[in-house]
Amino acid sequence: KKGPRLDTSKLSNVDRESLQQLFEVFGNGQEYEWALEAQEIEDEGNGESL
Amino acid sequence: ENAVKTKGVRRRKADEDDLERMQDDKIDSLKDQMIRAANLDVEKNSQGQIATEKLKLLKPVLDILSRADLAISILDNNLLEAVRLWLEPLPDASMPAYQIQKELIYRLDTLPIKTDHLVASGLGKVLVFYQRSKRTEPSLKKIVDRLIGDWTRPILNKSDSYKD
Repeated sequence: KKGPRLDTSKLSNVDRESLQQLFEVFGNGQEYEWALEAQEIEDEGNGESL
Repeated sequence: ENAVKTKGVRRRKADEDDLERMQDDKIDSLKDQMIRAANLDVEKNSQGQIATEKLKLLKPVLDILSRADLAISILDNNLLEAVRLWLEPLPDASMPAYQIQKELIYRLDTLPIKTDHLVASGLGKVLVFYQRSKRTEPSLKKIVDRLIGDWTRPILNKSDSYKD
């Protein structure tokens, strides 16, 4: 699932800074995507053809 | 009498510096051990073996994390980076032992963690993984959600204070 799309041109400088800091702290959701996908495939049952 | 007083203050300061240095060394050493254990477990897991190095080291880690007097040293020496490594999924995408997850996440609640510590350690990112993973125990997920909320608020509140 992709994250919400934001129109960053409408943000103030301070809001942009806060957003930047949120990304620094929490990442962009890609860091452990590989593990989430692998878990999903495994949990849906082994041997299932995709 | 004044001379004795001065000597007393100087000696106390030297003791404090020594103590701080000893605490930093202790935390640093634990951090090295934690990273080594995490890497060994990654290696074993990649080879299809059961990974138990972190579990063997868990008690000393928790003993340190539970000490309120070491909290500043823990955060300053970025021990949280080692905690993040311990919480990461293994190469086969399996979660670390539930005991490790539970004990570490509970202790995060007791530390005065600031935004800088989170950026340096990458801990926020791994908690988002726990938030999203379907394999996280519901009771742990509640704590994860609360921690993420606690860590988000100061970042957003900073921008609020500039709004008119």
